[in-house]
Amino acid sequence: MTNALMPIYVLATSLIAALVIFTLPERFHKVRTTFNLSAAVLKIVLVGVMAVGIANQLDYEFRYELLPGIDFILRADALSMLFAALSSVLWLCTTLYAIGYLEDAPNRSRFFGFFSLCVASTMGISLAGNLFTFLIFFELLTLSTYPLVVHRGTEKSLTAGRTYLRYTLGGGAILLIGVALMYGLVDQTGTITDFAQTGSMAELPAEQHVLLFVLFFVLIIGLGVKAALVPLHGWLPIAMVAPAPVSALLHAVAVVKAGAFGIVRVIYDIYEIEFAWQLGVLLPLAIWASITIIWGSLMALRQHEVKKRLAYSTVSQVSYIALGACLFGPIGTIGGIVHLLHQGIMKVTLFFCAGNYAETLGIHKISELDGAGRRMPLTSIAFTLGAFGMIGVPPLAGFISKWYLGIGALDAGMGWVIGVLIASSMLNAAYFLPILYRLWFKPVQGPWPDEHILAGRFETIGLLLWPTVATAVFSVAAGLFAAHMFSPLSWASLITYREYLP
Amino acid sequence: MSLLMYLVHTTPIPLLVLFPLLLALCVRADTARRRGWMLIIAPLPMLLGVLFWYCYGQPETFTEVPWLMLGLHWRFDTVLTPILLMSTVLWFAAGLYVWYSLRSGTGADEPHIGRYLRCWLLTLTGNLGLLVAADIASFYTLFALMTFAAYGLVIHDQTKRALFAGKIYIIMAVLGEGLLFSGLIWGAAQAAGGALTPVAPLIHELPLAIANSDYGMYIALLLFLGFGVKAGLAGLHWWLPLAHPVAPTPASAVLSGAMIKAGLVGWLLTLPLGGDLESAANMELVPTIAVLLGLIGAYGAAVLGVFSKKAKTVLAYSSVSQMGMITMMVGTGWLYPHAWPAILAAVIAFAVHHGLNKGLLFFGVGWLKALHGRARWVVLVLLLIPALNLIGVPFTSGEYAKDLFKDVISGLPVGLFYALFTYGALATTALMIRYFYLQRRP
Amino acid sequence: MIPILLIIPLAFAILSLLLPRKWTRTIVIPGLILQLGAALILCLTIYTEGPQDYALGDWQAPLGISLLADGFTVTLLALTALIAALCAIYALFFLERYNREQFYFWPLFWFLLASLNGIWLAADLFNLYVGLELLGLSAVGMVALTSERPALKAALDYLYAALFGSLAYLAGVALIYGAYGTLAIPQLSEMVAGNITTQVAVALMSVGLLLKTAIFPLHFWLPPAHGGALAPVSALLSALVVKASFYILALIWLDVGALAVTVSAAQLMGALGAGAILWGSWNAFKTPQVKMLVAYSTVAQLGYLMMLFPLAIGVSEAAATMAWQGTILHLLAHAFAKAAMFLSVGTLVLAIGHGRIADLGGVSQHMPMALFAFGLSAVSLMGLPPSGGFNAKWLLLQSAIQSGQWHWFVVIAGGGLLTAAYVFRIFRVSFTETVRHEIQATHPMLQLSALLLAFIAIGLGFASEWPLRLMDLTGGGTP
Repeated sequence: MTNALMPIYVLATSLIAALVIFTLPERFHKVRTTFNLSAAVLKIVLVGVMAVGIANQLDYEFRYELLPGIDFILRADALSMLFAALSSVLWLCTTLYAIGYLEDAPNRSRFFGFFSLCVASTMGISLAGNLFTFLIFFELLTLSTYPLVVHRGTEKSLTAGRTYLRYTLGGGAILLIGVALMYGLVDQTGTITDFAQTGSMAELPAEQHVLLFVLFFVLIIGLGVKAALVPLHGWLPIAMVAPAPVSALLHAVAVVKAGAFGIVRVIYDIYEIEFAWQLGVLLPLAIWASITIIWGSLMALRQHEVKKRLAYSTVSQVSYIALGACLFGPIGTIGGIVHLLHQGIMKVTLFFCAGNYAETLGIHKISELDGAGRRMPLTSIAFTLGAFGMIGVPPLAGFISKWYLGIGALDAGMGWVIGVLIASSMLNAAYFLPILYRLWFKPVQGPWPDEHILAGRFETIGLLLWPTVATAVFSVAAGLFAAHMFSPLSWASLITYREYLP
Repeated sequence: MSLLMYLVHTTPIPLLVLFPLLLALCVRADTARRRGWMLIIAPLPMLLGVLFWYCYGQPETFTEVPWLMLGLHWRFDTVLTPILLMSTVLWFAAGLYVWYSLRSGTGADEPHIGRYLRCWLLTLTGNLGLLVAADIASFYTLFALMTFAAYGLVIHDQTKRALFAGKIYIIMAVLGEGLLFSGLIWGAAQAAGGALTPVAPLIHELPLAIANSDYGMYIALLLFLGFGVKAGLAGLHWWLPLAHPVAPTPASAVLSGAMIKAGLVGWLLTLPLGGDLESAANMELVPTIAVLLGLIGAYGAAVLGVFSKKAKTVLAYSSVSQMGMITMMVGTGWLYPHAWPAILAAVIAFAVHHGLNKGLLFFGVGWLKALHGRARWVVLVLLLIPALNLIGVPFTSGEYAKDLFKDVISGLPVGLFYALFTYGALATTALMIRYFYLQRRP
Repeated sequence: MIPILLIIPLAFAILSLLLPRKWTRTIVIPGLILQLGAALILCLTIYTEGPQDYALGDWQAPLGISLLADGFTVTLLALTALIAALCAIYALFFLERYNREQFYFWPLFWFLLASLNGIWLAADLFNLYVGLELLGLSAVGMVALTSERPALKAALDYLYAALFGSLAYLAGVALIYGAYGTLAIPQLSEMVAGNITTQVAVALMSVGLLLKTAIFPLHFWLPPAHGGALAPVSALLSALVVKASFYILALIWLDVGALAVTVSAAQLMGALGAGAILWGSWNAFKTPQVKMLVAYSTVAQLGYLMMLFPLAIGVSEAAATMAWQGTILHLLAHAFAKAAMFLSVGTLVLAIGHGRIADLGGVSQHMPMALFAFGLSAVSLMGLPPSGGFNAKWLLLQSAIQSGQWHWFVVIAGGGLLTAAYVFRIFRVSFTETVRHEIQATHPMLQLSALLLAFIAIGLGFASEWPLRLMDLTGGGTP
C-alpha cells in the first residue's frame, strides 16, 4: 500500500509546502524558510527511497479513474526517477539560492509558494503515468511559472510574461489537441497512452500510420514550445527578466526540461522507439533538433547580456535531449537521457553565477565582466566549469553526453549528427571562451557597475555562493564519476536497458 | 589487507599525474611570487616514478579505476616512456628557470604570477598525464587540459601581440579539439562495434578498429589533422610562430619541446600504423598527404624562418620544420607497415632529441638576453652544441636519430624521398645560422 | 423527502419577511444547514435507492404537481445548496455595509433558492414555467437591490427579458398542451411526434429560454445585470440562475422534443454558442471594468453549454453520452468557478472602492487569497487542467472527435485561449507593484469563501467521476 502512496507523498511534499507558504504572512520568513527547506530535504529522501526501490524492481503506482475510461496515474519508473531526482535536488539548491537572492525583497510568500508549486508540477510531470496525467501537470507548470516570470512586476517583466503566456498557452492548446486526438482516434481504451504499456502501437493497422505520423508532430509541436525548438523558442530569451533563481529553475528543470522530457516520453513510451523509427518520424525530428542546436548557438553569439547568452545556449543545449531521443539505439538514448540531467546541473550553475555577478557587482552585460575572476574566484571557477561542460570538454558532464550522443548517432547510422555536435561545440566555445577570457585575463575596468555586496570572508553572501559551488561540483562529479554505479550515466543506462529490453 | 593491496596497486600513476594539479590548487595570488619552487617539484614525482620503473626493468604497470569517467586506465607505455622522460626533464628544467627568474627578481614586476603558476601546473598535468593515459576519455581530458591551460602561458605578457597570438592559438586549438573529438568518437564507435559496453574503449584498440572500418580513411584523416594542429603540421601551424615568440621563454621551451610532441603521441597512439594492420593499404591517401605535408613543413618553415626578425620566431619555425620531418617519418612508416617498428624507434629517438635540444635553444634566448660580455659569448658558443645536434652533424644525437630512419628507408623503394629527407638538414642549418645571427649582439 | 427541499427555502423566505429585521441574519445559518443537509440526504437516498418521484397532495399526473428526483436532479440540488450556502456566508459579511439592502436580500435569496429547487425537481412543463417566473422575479429583485440608477436600469432590462422569455415559453407550453393534452415530461417524451406544431412550440420555448439564458445574440441584458449587482447576487445569478433556463432548454431539446428537433437546428444552436464564445470573450477583453469582465465571461462560457446540442443530436450514442457528461461537468465547474470569481472580484472591488481593472495594481500583496481564488477559478474557466473545466472540455472534445464534428472541436479547443486572453488582463495588472488606490481591509471570510468555491472547481477536476456516476442514475430527463 505504501508503494501506491509513495508517488503521492513525493508530490505532496512540494504541493503542501506551496499551500502552506501561500497562507503564511509575509513577515514569517523564518517559519517559511524552515518549512520550505525541510520539505525539500524530505522530498530528496523520499525520491532516494523510491529510486532504490525502482532499482530493485519495485512498482510504485497510484491510479484512479478520473473520467470514464481515463485514469489518473502516478507511477514511478526509472525514467521518472531521473527527472524527479533532478528536480528535487535542484529544488533544494535553488530554494537556498533564492532565499539569499531575495533577502528583504517584497512578496516572498508568493514567490516561494509558486516556486514550490512549480516544483510540484515538475514532480507530477515526472511521475505522470500516462499522457493525460502528463498533460494535467504540463499545464499546471505553465500556470505556476507565470507568476514567477512576472514576479518583479515591472513593465518589462509583465510584457515578458505576456509573451511567455502566448507561447506556452498556445503550445498547451496544441498539446491538448494532440492528446485529445490521440485518445479519441487512436486509443479509446487508454492502453497506448499509458507509459507502462509497451508495444501496443505497433499493432495498429497500417492505414492509421499517416494519422500517427501527423499526431506525432502535433504532440511534438505542443511540447516543443516548452522545449524551445526553433521557431517556438521565442519566449525563452524574453523570460530572462525573471529573477535569477527563476531563470535557473526554468532552464534547468522546470519548463524547458518538461518539454524535453515529454518528447522522450512520447518517443519511448507512447510510440516506442522501434515503431517510431519504422514510422519515419525520428529523422525529421532529429533534423529539427539539429537546426535548433545550431540556430541557438548562432543566436547566443550575438547576445551581449550574460543571461540572454545563457538563454540561447539553453535553446541549443536542450535540443540535444530531443536529438538523443531520436537516435535509434541504446547508446544515443543514454546520451539524450543523461543530458537531461547533465544540462540541468550545468545550466543551473551558469545561471547561479550570472545571478551572483548581478547581485554582487551589478553586472549584467558581458563587457562588464572584465577581471571579475579575481574579485569572485569561486563563482568564476563555477562558471568556467559550467561553460567548459557546455562546450563538452572532458571530464565534465557535457563531455559524457556528447560522447554518448556521438557514438549513438554512429550506431544509428546518422553520422551527420557528429557534424552537428562538433559545430555546436565550436560555437559554444566561440560564445563561452570570450566570457572566460574576460573573467580571468582582462584587467578590471574601473569600479563595478553596482556593487551591493562587499567582499567579506567570501566574495558574496553564502546563500548565493554555496548552492553555486554545489551544482558546479555536481557537474564535475557527474562527468568524473560517470562510470560509477551511482552516476547519472549508470542510471540512464538502466533506463535505456529497461526501455529496449522490456 | 586486500584494500591495502588495492591501494598499493592502483595509486602510483594517478598520484604522479595529479601532484601538479594539487599544487595548482595551493597557489594563491598574493604569495605566488614565493612559490616558484612548486614548478620544480611538480614534475619530480613523475620523473622519479619513471626512473624507478626503468630501474625495475620496465614491468607492466597500470592503474585501473573503472568508476572514474568512462573507466580510467593509466599505464607506463614502453614506447612512449622516452618521450615521457624527456618531457619530465624539460618541464623540470623550465621550472628551475622560472623559479630562478622569480627569485632573482627579473620577473618580479610582472603581474599575474599566480595565474601563470596555476596555468603552468595545469598544463604540466595535462602534458605528462596524456603520456600515461590509455583510455580515450582521460587521454582526451588531459589533452584538452593541456591545450586550454597553455593559453594562459601564451598570453602571459598581455601585450597586444600576445593577445593576438592567444586568439589564434585558441581558435586553432578549438578547431583541433573538434577534429579530434570527431575522430576519436568515430573511432571509438567502430571499436565498440555497436555493443552496449564498453562505450569508451582503450586507446590502443583504436588503430585496429580504424583499419577495419569502412570509413577508416576519414577517421584517420580526422585524427591526423586533429593532432596535427598541436604537432605544427604545415597548414595548421599558424599559431606556432605567433605563440612561441610572445610566450615567456621557459614556456616557449616547453611548448616547443614537450607539448608539440603531444600531437605526435596522439598520432602514434591512434593511427593505424604497423604491420599487423593488413587493411592499412586502403587508406594510402592519408599517409601520402602526411608525407607531402611533412615535406612542405620541413622546407617551407625554413624559408619563412630565415626571414623572421626574432630568434624565438626562428626557433618556432624550426620546430615546424623538425616536426615536418617527423611527419614525413610517420607517413613513410604508415605507407610501409612492415618497416614501421624500425621507423617507430627512429621517430621516438628524433622526438626526444628534438625536444631536449629545442628546449635548450629556447632557454638560450633568455640567457643571452640577461647576460653581457664574456659570459654571453661562452653561452653563445655552448649553444652551438644543441644547434649542431639539431642539424645532425656527425657524432650528435641528431645524426643518430636521422640515421636510424635513413637506414630503414634506404631499403625501401622511396626514390627521391631519401634525398629530400637528407637535405632537410640544410633547412635546419639555415635556420640555425639565422638564430645565431639574430643573437649576435644583445 | 423530496418536497422538503421546497418547503425549507419557502419557509425561511417567509420567516425572514415576518421576523424582526435583526433576526433575518441569525436564521441564515440554520437555514443553510437544513437545506444542505436535506440535499445531501436526498443525494444519498437516490444513490442507494434509485430515482424517485412524488406527487404533491397525491394528485397524480397529468393534473397534479409531480416532482421527480433522479441522479441529475440531485446533483443540481446539491450544487445549488452548496453554492448558495457559500454565497450566503459571503453575503453575511459583504452586506454588513448595506443595511437597507440586507433586509431585502434574504427573503429574495430564499425565494430564489426555492424556485431553483422547484425547477430542478419539476416533472412537467407548467411547473417549470412557474419556477421560471418566480426565479426571474426574485433575480430581478436582487439586481435592483442597491436602487442606484444603473442597477435599476439593468434590473428593468432584465425584467423585460425575463417576462418576454416567460411569455414565449408559455406560448410554447400552451401549444404542446393543445396538441397532446398533457404537460408531464415522462408522458410527453413518449408521445411527442416530429410534427409542425411541436416544432413551432419547441421554437417558441427555445427563443424564450435562450433569452433567459442570455445566449448570444440575446445576451444584452446579462452583462449590466450581473456586472452591476452586488457581488453575492452576481455570483448566484451567474452560477445558478442562468443554468436553470438552460436546464429546461436541454430538457426540451433532448427529451421532450427529441423527435421534433433537427440536426440543422442543433447546429444552429451550436453556432449561437460559438458566437457567444467569441463575442463574450471579445467584450470581456475590452471592458475596463473588472465586474463587467466577469459578466461577459459568463456570456462566453454559456456558449460552451450550447455545444451540447450539435454534439448530442444526430450522433452516435457514445458521442451523445460524452457530450451530455461534458455539458453537465461544464455546468458544475462553471457554477463553482464563476461564483468564486464573482466573490473574489467583489472583494477586490470592495477593497479598492471601485472596479477599474487598471487600478488593481498592488492587490496581490494585500489580498493574496482573493487573487488566488480568482486565479484558480480562471484556471477552470480556461479549461486548463487540473480542473472541472478541463475535464468538461476534454469530454466535449472527445465527443466532437467521436462524431467527427471538427468545426466544434476547433471552437472548443480555441475558446480556452480566448478565455486566457481576458483573465490574464487581471493578473497582469495585479502583479504590478504600484498601488494607485488605498486598499481597505476586508473581512477574511470574504476571501475564504471565494477560495473554497475555487478549490471545489479545481477539485472537481479530480473528482469528476462522482457526479458523472450519480448522473447515470436516470429515470428520465436525460437521453
